[in-house]
Amino acid sequence: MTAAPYATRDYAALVRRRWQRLLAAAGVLAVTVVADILIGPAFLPFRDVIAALLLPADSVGATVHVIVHEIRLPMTLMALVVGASLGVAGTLMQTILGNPLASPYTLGFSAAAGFGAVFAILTGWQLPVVPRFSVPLAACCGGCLAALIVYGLARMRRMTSEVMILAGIATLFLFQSLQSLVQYMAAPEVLQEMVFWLFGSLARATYLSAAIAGGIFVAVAAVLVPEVWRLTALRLGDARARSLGVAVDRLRIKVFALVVLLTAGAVAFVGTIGFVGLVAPHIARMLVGEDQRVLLPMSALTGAFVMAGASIVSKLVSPGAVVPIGIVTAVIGVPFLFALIIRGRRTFW
Amino acid sequence: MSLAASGIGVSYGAVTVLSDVGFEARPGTITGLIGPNGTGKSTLLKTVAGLVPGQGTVSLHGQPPLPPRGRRAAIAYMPQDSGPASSLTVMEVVLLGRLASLALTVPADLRDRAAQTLARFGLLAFQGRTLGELSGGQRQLVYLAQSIFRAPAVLLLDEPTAALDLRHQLMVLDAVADHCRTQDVIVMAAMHDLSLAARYCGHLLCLSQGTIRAAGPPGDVLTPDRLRAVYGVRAEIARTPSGAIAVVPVAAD
Repeated sequence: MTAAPYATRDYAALVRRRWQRLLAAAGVLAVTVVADILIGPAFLPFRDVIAALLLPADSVGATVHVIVHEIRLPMTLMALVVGASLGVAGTLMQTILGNPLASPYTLGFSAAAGFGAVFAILTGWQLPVVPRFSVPLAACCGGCLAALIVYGLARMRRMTSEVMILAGIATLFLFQSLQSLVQYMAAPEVLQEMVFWLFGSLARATYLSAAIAGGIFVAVAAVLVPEVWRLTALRLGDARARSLGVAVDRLRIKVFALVVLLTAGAVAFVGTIGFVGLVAPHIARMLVGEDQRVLLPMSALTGAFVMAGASIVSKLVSPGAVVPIGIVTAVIGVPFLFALIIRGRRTFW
Repeated sequence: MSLAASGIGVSYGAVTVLSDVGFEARPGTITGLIGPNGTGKSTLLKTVAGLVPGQGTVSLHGQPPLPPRGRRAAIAYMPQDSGPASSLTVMEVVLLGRLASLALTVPADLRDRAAQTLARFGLLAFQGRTLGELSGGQRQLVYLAQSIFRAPAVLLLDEPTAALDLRHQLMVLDAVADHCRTQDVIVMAAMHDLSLAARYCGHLLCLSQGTIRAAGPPGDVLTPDRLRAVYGVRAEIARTPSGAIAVVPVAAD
């Protein structure tokens, strides 16, 4: 076959182009991250921020050092980890369910995490040794409870994407209603705390919480590496994936559990962040296609980019203040979703 | 050297889809599976491939019966639908045929062989296109290329020409027949076009109401009485000048 080398070159070029786009995305993210660290409500001069980042602590003022190292850096790190986690979680959900609108948010995990958090706030529940992790842990438990409900309902029938999506949407409505009920029962000052949590904010970020969420992300990524081609095969539909030797139901359960971990790790510390898990996978798919070897890292980069970008916008909207990032991501995400609906799925889904 | 199935039975609740089905398919010639809609052709192929749980045994080349997992490894099944319009490229779809051989990097020789398979189906120019950009018939061709690229011992095709125009029907069946003959592969294909089945298959299994009603060479299986009994149609069986069998439906009963 004389044509084969041409085809091989062509495919190799396609793959190379995708990796180049991945590198370019990493570059854009790096610039965005730097901008996110430089910008803040304290309006510090850029050179002071850079000095605080590069020079020893005693070379800059104590205030500048604290703002950069104790506030901005943990917030930026958390934005990266949460964005990457939600981006990958969204891609995984869309892949295993074969649905462009699937995400941890639209399937009720985030609403359930929110319910866990507001319930802990209402009852004043405290962990014995580390009380500051009480609300994050309650949020994690809420997310896991939603996952168990969806899994249990799907298991009663079959682990098909249709059953899981319906179960997820029912779970979303259930936990949104429970959230509303808890808020209705809460005293005004408690309600304020709940609403602030539900908005989603990076202000709660610390190095420790970013490290925990980052650790979960790295662990999940390591488990996903051997599964990339099987996940790619899922995009051919269940019947064809099965005929290729993919244990579809088992893979779906495994990935579902990983999505729960990623989502719980992400939203537990920053609150409900909408649309990143929906929008980032679509941007990534438009850039690099469906090959999960490249799509998953690209989803992590685009998710981190959306979060870092939203973090910058959240600091610029109201001078001197930081608008909760959950509001900004939704405001950016909704128009994108509209565009997605108008363009239809033929172009990239 | 054959694929032998015996006592195949499948039920969905109280509904029996297949009952005590047995057959033997040999390499080098296509075994056609014919019968009306809803008679269990797809279920039989999926059960043999280990994709649907059922009773009975399936053995290959006289070996002990294969468990479902072993069948999934040795037997490639190509579904009849053209699948979702995903943004996977044609090359990626074909590469997925060798899922077990794929790692984070795709070996160059594997890419070369995939390209050769694509060239065989006239799909080389499409290798960078996504499935979403192809017609249903073109997608079907890509999936056939994927199944052949998989190089299985047994290839089960569920209505491989269902969505194709006349030219592509002949193109696909010529490629399947050539692959079957040159690679000594066992091929079974569920088919609705009885004239095409007669032309390309050396052996036919006629399935009706979940059981095999007749088996043998096309000339023996395709008779007016049998078509009337199985399909509920009056049909004429003609011979073309080239000697091929042509089934001409006349009227439904």
